[in-house]
Amino acid sequence: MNKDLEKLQQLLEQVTAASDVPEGDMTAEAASLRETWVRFGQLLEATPPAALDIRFPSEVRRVDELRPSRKLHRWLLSAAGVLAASVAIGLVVTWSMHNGEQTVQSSPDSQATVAVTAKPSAATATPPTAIASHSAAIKTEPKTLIRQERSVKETVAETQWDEAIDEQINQVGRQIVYANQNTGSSIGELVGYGIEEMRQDLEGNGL
Amino acid sequence: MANCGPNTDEERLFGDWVREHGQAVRGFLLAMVRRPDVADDLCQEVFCRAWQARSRYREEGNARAYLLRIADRLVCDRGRRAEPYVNLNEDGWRKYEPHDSAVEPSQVALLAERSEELTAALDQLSPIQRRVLLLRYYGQLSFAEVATMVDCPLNTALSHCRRGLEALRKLLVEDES
Repeated sequence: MNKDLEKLQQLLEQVTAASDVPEGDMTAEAASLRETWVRFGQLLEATPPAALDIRFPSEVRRVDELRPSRKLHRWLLSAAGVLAASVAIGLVVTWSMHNGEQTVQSSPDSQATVAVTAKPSAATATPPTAIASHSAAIKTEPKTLIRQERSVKETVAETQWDEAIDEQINQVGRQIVYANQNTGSSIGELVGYGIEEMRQDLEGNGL
Repeated sequence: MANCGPNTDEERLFGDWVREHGQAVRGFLLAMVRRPDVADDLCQEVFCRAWQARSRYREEGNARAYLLRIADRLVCDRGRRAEPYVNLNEDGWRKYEPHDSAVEPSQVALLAERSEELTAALDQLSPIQRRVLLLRYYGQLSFAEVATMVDCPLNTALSHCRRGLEALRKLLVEDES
């Protein structure tokens, strides 16, 4: 601590001392500041002192006693919240898994439907190789098959005619749909085959 | 003084604290906030907090410094949330701190005059100068302790004290003379 700081500290400690300080021991400036300090203290003490009403903080004890149970209550609430969230997540996962199983299970049915509808009639000699390759393509894409199965069913329901020519038209239509969904198949061969048969039948029947 | 009679040693200690330091703590708070109702509330809060932390209080320490430290922090926290204090005129003082009817009117007038003079004196001081001077007066703390309490270097605390006294001297001594 430098000397100026020490001098200042000594001065202020002398000026603001609680006990009386002999004026002879102080400089003029110190005496002036001391007078100010005494006057300041008189003003502070002159404020009417109200009767102190400080209550013993007995409620502090009750707060301390309550704190452990409050902590326990909060812990229980947190645990209940976590448990409820876990149950909800489990239910959602179970539901989504159940839905996924139903979706996969519908694929074999649609495959069977395709196999039945793709059965060649007596009037038309559908090449077995085309049907076989087509079925193989279907098996590799079960999701696409579901949509196809619905559209095929609707088509079959709406266009069920007894006449052979209509059966052929239906058959060709299905093949075209399947061919369009499957880029790996020989589209040209299937489409060409069905349309040629149709043309022959039309020319033959005079339609 | 404490309303409850001392039932245990702890309550007796609490009562001793209030008797020895209650007026000083309240005086400090009143000079800082200038509202008797607020000073009373803060005073109760000071002793409550001091009691809650009594296990951490070191017996060899200065009890008054300990209490004033809590009081100083409460005042600072309150100052951050609201106006530091409100100057009350004579009517305001009478409303918050009505004088005893047994006090003579001349005495009442004198007290009112002193209150106004004190308010004017405190208005001369900056907040930090007020804190330093009041902690020195009510706590009789060393300047090193005061510097620690207001969180500033020692030379800064000494400077605040010196400038505060000079501002008060101008009003209390030079103007009167």
